[in-house]
Amino acid sequence: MIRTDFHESGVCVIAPESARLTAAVAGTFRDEATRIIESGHSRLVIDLSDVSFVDSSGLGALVALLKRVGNRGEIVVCGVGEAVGQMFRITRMERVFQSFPGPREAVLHLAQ
Amino acid sequence: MSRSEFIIHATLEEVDGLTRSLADLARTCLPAEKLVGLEIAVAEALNNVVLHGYDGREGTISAALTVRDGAVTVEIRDGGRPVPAGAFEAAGSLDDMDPLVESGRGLGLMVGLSDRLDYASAPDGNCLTLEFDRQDPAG
Repeated sequence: MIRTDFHESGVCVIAPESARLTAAVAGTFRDEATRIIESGHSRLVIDLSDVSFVDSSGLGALVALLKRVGNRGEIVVCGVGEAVGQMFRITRMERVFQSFPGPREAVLHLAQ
Repeated sequence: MSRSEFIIHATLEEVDGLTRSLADLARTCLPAEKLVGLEIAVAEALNNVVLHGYDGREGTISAALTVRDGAVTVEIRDGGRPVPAGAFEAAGSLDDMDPLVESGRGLGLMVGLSDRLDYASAPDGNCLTLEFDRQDPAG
């Protein structure tokens, strides 16, 4: 349930292929993205452009990925819409994940 | 006053669909930010029933959304294991929430995003009521 784009710079863009990152799919999303991290990718963009709603399980999956990467790399998000942004603000996730308007800006940041 | 009722199987997939349906029904009654709060609180409540109340066992969940002049009320009934006594009261404030935890945000979100929360557990089942004011007191 994820779409993955690998960039020449080594940055990997992961987009959930579900409009709702909720408990119903969060575990699968986390496992699939974890496999990408374990294959050696540590600079990741989570592209939430097509995600309209995130619950606490979805947030938990994002935090789990962040912990998996640890200080070996960096995870940023992009394409955060209004409802997802509200959830990020409520749960202070905006302090944890740097956010960019779109994947292009996020990839540029991580490629530096 | 209008009232809509639903009954679903207690699965995460059906819960997600029900959350969306309830939020759609409230869409014209609540300001945008409060509507997102309702959707988050309801999602957490329903997920909680599936993951902790039924804990993998089969069961049903019924939900009703009532729109009155002053507030939108969501009532969720289930026959699973009840939320432990005092758990809602003990749920931390949203301001104290640790952003780096992977789980355990659900009760705090339900309490923090609803204007009133009531929970009752009896031998024939549990009932959680979440209420959302249609207009903030300041407005």
